[in-house]
Amino acid sequence: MTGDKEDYKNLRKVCNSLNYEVKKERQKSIHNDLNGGPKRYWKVINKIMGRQLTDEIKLVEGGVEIDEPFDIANCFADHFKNKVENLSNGSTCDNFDIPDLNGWVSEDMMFNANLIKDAFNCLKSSKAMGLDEIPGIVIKDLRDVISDPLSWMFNNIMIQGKIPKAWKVSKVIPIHKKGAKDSVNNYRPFSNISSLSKVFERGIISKLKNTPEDVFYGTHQHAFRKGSSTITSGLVFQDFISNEIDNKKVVLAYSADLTAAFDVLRPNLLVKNLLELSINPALVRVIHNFLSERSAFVQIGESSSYYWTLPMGCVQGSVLGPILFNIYMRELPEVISKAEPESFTLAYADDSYIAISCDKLNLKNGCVSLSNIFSRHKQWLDKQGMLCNPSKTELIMFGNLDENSNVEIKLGDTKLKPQKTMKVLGVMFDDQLNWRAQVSKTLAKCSSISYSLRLLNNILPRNLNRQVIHAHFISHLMYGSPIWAGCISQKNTARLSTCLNKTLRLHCHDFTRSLTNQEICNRSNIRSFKSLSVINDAKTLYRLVTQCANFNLVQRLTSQSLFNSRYPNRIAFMSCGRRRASKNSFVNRAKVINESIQFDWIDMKQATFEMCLKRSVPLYIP
Amino acid sequence: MNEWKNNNNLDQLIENETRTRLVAGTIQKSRIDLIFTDILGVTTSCEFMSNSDHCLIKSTILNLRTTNQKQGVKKGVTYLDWRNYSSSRVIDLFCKFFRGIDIHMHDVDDINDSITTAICLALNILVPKRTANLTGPQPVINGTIRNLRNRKSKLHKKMENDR
Repeated sequence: MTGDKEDYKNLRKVCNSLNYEVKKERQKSIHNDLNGGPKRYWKVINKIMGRQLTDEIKLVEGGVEIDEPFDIANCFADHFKNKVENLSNGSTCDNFDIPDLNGWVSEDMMFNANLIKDAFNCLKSSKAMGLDEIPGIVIKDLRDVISDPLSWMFNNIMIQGKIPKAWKVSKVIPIHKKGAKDSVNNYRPFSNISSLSKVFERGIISKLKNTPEDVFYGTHQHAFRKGSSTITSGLVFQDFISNEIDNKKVVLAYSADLTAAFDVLRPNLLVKNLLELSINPALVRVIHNFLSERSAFVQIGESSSYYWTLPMGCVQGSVLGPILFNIYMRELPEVISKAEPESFTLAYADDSYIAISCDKLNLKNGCVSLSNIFSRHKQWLDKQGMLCNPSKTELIMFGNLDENSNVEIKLGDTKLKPQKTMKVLGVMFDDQLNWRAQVSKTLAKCSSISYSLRLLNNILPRNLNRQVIHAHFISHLMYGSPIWAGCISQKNTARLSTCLNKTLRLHCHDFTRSLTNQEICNRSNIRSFKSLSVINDAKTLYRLVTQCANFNLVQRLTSQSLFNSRYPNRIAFMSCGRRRASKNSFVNRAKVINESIQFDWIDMKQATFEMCLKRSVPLYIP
Repeated sequence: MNEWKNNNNLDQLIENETRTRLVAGTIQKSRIDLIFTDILGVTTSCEFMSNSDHCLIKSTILNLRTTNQKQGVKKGVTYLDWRNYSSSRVIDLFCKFFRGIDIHMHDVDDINDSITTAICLALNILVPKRTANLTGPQPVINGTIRNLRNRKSKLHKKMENDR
């Protein structure tokens, strides 16, 4: 017994000292990893935070594990090819015979060296290489010497109406969406195209931009536009709902999910759209050529799959693709308003949200109208060759206080009951607009991140730790905050503030809770929840007023002149007598922010505005 | 020799003294290994530049590998080595390879090919592909520690049972 005890003590001593060394070694190795520059340390941090990007994809097909890169590449190629083929075989889309687009190319359609240099400036250096394996940074460095040869080539492309064959080959990289990583269904095809093609596409966009964006896409589309974002789309949707609730109405809304929307875009129908917009035929001819006769292959590591032809699609990953997709979808609000003139349409790329309002007593009529809208919507999508996924379609009813009302709406072949919540571009809208679901979701996410941050707290240097908190914690905490943060109850605000303060306490090494919340904010130099919320609201207001002046929301927000004769320092917002929607009306929230910003700041550049804002809003707001 | 080195835009690879000898009672260090390179490309020939006892050999090195490998890259992974890249060098090399090509062709595929080829040739020299030789960091917990821990927990269990 005594022998065992002594043995145990000795072993314990050895183990403890070894454990200490292991810990020390681990910290040392992480320190070494962190010294390899920003790209390297973010990789390490992401690994610790559980966001490790899988370099090695392993698939399981029919219970068999595939781990050879060549087999995986072919497996993805089969999947992407069959998916588009199946969608195109089952569709009954319109056909359009392309008229003769040959003719004289006008001078304004030609490229000169200056235009190409501008196109170079818009290129991003960090983007992945295409088939030509020329990095973006090299092309940018060469801009002075290759502008002339490129302008000769681009002008020849415009005259001949055909682009080089090498540009029509896409290197497809599977990008994981969500769900299990070993299933091919959970990946999207992302094309890397050659760098020179990207310069040409930029040039084409500059030619297209001669037409105003609203003519192209309509005001309903918020994706891939300057000044628009998921936040502006959420705000517009919230404004519509709160406005209707104020008028004592009920809002019925559904979200439509399209299957592989970007991959089934028909080049012929796009040409029809472009010609309707009176785009120069020479440009239309080049765009049609850009989309037709394309081929692709999947690359996994060093291995690549077989080539397959792409009969349709707008090339996800190209510069021109998103703009062409927006043009393709531009008729959507027209189609919806034909079915119901007072409907509301919102789109963010392939996500669309349709809503109508009706009187509470007239709920049945509202349901019928919504089903009509859906069937018209579906018909139009069929004509465009797109497929709406009914299993992912969500229905919600806003502003109905009667919980016992049994409403069922027939959307297509399925009958749907309104849900309590609906996710609109990452923000959870609930039927009473009290944002409880969004707060719960945010808290759940932030709590798990906070746990991972504990691991990093002792290892990372203070400055880096602050960056990590901003990148991994505050970005989740404040996502969509201009939509919901100003409308939540005091109790929920306190819950979110406590969550943030807990993380900041960790950052300040205040384990005994001896510091006050204000001291924590000052010491860590990170803003409190309310301060962050005011800053985000003010930034959104600036963006809305300066860049989205055509939105109804902004037109209602501001009077004809923003100048406030009574208080020259403040902006003159329209007076608003809304009570029921309360803070869900952006006008009511804007008045609160108005105290933090001054009238003449609106004319400043964005960076200057943000600097002034940061100075005016205190770090800690109780 | 210095003039020749400057004219050809070369660098001396050996920077430290490589010979130690006693001269008039004092130790003197000198550099006798002279390796000039422009670290740019591949050579197949060795050329003797002088006939003295210090023989100057002009050679360029095929796929120059240095011991200073990129850190944190797994063994066998191919990566691009950007250490020799600079915007002025890439412009010079592109002009060198693109010189003599008549761009006023009418086939867009030909124009694209000639531009892309010139850029790729410049990149092959400036940003060569390398294969990582180093293995990744070894796992800190090795077999010995694990065995010791197991022995410790077994003893602890035994002691608990005896009690």
